[in-house]
Amino acid sequence: MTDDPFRNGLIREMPNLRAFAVSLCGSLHLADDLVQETLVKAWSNAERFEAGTNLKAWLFTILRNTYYSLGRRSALEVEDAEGAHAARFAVLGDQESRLDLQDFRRALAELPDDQREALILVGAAGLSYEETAEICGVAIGTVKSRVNRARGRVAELLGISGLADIGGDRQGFNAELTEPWR
Amino acid sequence: MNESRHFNQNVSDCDDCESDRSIPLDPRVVETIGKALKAHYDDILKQPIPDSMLVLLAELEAKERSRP
Repeated sequence: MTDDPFRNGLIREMPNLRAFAVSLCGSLHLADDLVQETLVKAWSNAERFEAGTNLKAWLFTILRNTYYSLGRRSALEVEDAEGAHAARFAVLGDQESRLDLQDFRRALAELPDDQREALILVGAAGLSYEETAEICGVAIGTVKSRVNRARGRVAELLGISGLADIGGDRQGFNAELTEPWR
Repeated sequence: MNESRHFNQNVSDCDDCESDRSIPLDPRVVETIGKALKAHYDDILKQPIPDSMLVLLAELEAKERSRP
């Protein structure tokens, strides 16, 4: 490690960039290309980054803009059709959570891009509504609306929209869905 | 950051709210989706960083150092 804080920041944020990239494009392979391109752009625009501000949000902005400039979603659809998307994401560990995570990822992949990115940034990457609005270039209310619609759609796709479903009326699947993360 | 703009929350704060279905989700559904999201994201987070990325960064640094 050197003592260049910008470089060390890039290394620190690499896992987050990968996780966000996979969430956006649905493919580990394409995600790694996206992250590499993001790193190159970040490096060559380093002087535009204000030290002390949010590096993660700055990098995420570069990554999502790069993703959208590449013609969206095509890779996801191709890979998903072949079942590669789900297979690649196999979780180490028990069978139940593997099945559950795959189901969830399929549902995530069904979302429109704008809803998926809002849900991931707020619900998984730990960014605030304000930061997410900044990254996506929309108003905070729009982010909230997209997150709500994304949750509703995912619940619909997984068949867990209703109270009764969660309570166990539809046994098996729902029990498995809730259990592994308790 | 344009924080002043974002902290003003009113109706015009939302570009496409009219298409928002306003049926509130059960909190347990929201919680379940939250846990699934974390499981999905953390699964990728904990994977090792590919060497190619570290190599790329080293190349970028080397290129910078070799500049006159």
